[in-house]
Amino acid sequence: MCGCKMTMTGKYLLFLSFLQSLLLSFGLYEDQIGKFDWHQQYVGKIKDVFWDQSFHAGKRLLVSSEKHVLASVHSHNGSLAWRKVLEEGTRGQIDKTLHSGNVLITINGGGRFVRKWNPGNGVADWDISLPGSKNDRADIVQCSKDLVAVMVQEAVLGLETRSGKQKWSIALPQSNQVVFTHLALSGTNLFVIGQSYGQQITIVTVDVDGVIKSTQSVTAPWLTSNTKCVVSSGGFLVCYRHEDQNLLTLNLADGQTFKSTSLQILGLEADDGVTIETQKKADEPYIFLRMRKDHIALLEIASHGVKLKKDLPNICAAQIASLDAQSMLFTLERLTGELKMRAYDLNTGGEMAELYQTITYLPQHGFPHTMEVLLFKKRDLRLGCRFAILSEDFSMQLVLKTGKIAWRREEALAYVLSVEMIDLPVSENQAKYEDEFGSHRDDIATMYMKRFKTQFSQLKTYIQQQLQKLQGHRHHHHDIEAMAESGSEDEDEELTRDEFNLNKLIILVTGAGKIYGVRSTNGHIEWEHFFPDLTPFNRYGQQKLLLYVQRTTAHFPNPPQCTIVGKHKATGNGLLFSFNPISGEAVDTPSTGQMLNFRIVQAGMLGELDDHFLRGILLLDPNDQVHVFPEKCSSVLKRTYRSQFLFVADRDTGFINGYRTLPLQKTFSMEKVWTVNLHKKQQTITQVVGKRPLEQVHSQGRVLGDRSVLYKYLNPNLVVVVTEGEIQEQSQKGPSSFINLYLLDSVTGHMVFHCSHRRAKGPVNLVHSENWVLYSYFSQKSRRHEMAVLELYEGKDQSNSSAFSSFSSPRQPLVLRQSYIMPLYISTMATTITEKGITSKQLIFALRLGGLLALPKALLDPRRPLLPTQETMEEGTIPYIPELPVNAEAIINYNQSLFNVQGVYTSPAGLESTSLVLAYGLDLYFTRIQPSKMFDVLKEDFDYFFISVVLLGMFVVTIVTQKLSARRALSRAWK
Amino acid sequence: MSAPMSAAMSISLLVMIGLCSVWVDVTEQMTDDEFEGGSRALVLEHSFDSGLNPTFSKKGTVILKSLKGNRAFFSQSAPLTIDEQTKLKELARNNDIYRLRLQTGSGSSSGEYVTTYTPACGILSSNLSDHIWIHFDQSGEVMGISVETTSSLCTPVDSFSLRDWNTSMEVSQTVLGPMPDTQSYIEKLKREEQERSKGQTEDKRSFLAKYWMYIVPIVLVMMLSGAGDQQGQGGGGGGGGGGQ
Repeated sequence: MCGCKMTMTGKYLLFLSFLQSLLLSFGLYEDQIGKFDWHQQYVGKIKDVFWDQSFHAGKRLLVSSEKHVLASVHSHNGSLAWRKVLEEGTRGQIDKTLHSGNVLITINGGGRFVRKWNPGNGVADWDISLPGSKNDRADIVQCSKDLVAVMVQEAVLGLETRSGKQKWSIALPQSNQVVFTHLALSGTNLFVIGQSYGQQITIVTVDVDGVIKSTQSVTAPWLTSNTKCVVSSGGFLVCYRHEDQNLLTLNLADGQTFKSTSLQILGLEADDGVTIETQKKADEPYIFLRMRKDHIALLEIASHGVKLKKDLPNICAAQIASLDAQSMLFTLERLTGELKMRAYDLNTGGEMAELYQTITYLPQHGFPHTMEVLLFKKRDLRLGCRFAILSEDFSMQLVLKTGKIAWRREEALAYVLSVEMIDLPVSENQAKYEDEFGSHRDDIATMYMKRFKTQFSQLKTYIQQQLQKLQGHRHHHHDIEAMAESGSEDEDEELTRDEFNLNKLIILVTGAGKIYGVRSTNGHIEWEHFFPDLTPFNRYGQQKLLLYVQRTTAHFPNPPQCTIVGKHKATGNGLLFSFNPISGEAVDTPSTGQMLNFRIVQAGMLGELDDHFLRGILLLDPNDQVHVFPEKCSSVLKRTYRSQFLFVADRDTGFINGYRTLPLQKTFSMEKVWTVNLHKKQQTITQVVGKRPLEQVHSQGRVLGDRSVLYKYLNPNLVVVVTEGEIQEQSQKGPSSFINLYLLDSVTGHMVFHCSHRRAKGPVNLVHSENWVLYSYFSQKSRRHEMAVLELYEGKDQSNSSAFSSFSSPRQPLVLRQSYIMPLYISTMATTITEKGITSKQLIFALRLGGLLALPKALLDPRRPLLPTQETMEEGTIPYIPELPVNAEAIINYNQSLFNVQGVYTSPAGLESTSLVLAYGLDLYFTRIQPSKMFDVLKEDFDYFFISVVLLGMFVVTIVTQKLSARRALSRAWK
Repeated sequence: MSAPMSAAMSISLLVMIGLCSVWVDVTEQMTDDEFEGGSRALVLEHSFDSGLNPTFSKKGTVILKSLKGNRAFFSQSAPLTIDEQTKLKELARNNDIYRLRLQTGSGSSSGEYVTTYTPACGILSSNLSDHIWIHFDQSGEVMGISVETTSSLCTPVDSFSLRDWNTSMEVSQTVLGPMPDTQSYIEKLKREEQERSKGQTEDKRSFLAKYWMYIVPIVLVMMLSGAGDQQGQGGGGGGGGGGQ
């Protein structure tokens, strides 16, 4: 008995050590850092940009972005000097950024926090919290060197710049539904402007010592929440009234009424989207009026109204900059392939020819909308300028030397919505080889000639390669230096597949309407496209842009093809763009995208390929008509319409409807065949997650300890629907929330399994793969994050080993389930995928702390037994421990912290052991992982010499002993 | 000693809380499971039409006795008419579908239905025997319905038996999702600790008490050999002893 117990504990320890070795196996050696992983940091769409005027004057730019980021960018190469990622949600949003001289102050979260930053290193000097505004309006101005005034909805505060200490505070009058929107300084007076929509404007005048001087109101019955108002320098309030295209101005110091000026009188033609832009650098009361993307007017405000200072047609960005009391106007005009920058002296109105320059500008950046100029005197006292350009596609570019873009930052990459990794095409030789076997109609002679040609060219390239190798070794160092300087090594290197198909082309589709093809080797952009009209489908705050791979690289000579399905910005109709993912060239659709004449309700792919191995896309319009894209694939639908199903989950009604395809004369219609009601009044559908199409599952079952097989329930039509809701419970105070999970067969509408978690809250992260579903939620009962796993099995008998049909499969599979405690807060998760699905799976969790944690699926197995028995040990399950282990070695991105990870994409490589991982969000991080270690490749330090010596030795010994034994046999025979 | 005590206390408290919650859940389910008058009837409708707007007719009534016990029965309203039989055969010939629907929502006023379908061939080839699932949520509302036949293949069948339905019913209700099983794990740890502490109390006996069986023979041997030495040394010792 005792001995038995001893072996039990021994085996238990063995399991623990096995667990440890599992976890330890992901470790990375120091010299492997950066070898196959890369990390790119972004800031998001830039709201404000300033030239750093402190210690690093002219050497750095300070930026604040929509993604709650404050950063400093080196002006010589565009890299980040420092970056501060502020809180997620409204708490972290940057309302206003104040920068002048050495002072950098931000207001965050609708006036909740005021923070002063050190522009040199990004350290917060001080941070104070205020009650905050109800309507998230806050403003800040600098009154003097050591006083800033901050306006929140209820009060205006004077803060010491050095310490953030509150010098004075005054309460603002709260009446007439007044919304305080602006704070302006003119002379020694602070003006607080409050708007009461449909009634009046309230102006509170405060002096810099915090004493209210006067409160007056001006009637403005035309004021609505959509009216755009700004305060210009010189103390004028300027509003634009869209209805009759009038500009209304008010002198804050002594004005009694608004002066109105019609745009027609100024000689301007207004579009729908007229905006007013202020300028801060000149003292004169100038404002910019933007009529269109490429039409700006510079206006001057006087006490009697507005007058046109300069009309700037075809100008897309303009700024006023001044140096030594000389104010200058800088303008940017976009022509095809270049930008024209002109500068004008504002006093004389003449153009300054010495500053004129043309800059090469790629059309895929759209129109520039903002420029930030730094003026300086060169050594020979001539004027020089540097400027940053912000464009429509969220990019930031910098002109340092005349006529040349020094660098660009593609901030759209912080808005990635869809990812695919595409195999690179095979090399030319390989292609010829394929070509040889591709055609069937050749006779023997031509085939022989082809073979001869192929082998000859193979020999030629082999010799060339060997020659290059010899030369390359000599010039290696020189090359690297040259590469570092030009940064254009990509252009030379051809896009061909490597031996193990590890390098791919990553297609990134971003919410900015920009698409990138990025090399997986180094993260460099291979091609890019910008669609100003493309916008994601946006429902309940979830943005989606669909990316379909219609044809992979495997079907040579047919080129690969991908299609993006999105929404047209203005009309809401569908917008499609098809392209060759390797070259980025448009296929089947115009290069600006193809606009459809209907809204897209649902999209899916056809089940079968056409004659040219192209997989068509099905698009469902609101009238239940189904369209096939491209048109030529509709023959496939005609053939297979009986097995083509779609389903639509309607969040507004809580109904999920299934459709089958019906042919109508020439078109196809969708017929509703099943309906599931998830009762909207109780809960809301938050997620619908299907399986990855074409996922490879290697083993059909699981071998148990008693040598029997538990067959997996592998239903490709299975989708998981997650709902969240609240119920009023009698026993508790207040409502308690719950989450429900429904596993639906999307062809028949059969509910395979449904379960509920009470007192649990989202956000639910879900992974659905093979025969299991893994999801995380927050348990309000235990106040912790939990991770539940469901595994579906058919049982000990398999219904059909070759094909799966939703009509004849077992309807109620065995659902094994278990839940674990997740000790850390995760933002998203994914599972690894490999070529053939042989390698065991790993789960990748993006932690809020910045890590990517990889855990083996074996840890999240519902079959982990509480008390290990002989049988479970035989099976190899790990004993149950409620908490999931978090090990520092299991963090695959070592010390490269990732912020706001939105998703993790995994892709198989040519090697079965390897899975490629891309985490996207504010940062991009690419790496590869081997969930079961590298079982199919020899290690780097494999001793080839030793093994060949041993082999050779064995060979020699064999021959010698053979000789000896032959001689012996001979001599024995003689006896 | 107080530390293990409090730990044990908290564990028992945890167990109590766990038990309470289980109890609450059970009672709630019990209340969900009860129907007024002991059972609940649902009207099942079917359609033999093809096309976008099929018309439905009553197939029968489903009588629910209990959700939890999975007790539901189907009673047919009328045998299949000749007209319906020919329609069904027509559907099967066209490889079309046979539909079913069930009204959801508590009141009969709401026109919300859940629907399902199956290939008509399957119905025909299995001689009108089908198996119907009705899916309920935790409050007893109908969420979905699905139907299965023994085979979905189109095999020719004799029409003599196409009159009465042979329908079996099954009911599924949303179950509670898994929760981390900390309770039994803690119990397991506690048990292991107890075993260990039992081992430790044994160890706490004095050194002599534990290893007397080893010590005594050694001491004996030493004494014996020591005595031998003494004897070997001659009478010096003995003489001394004698002197005393």
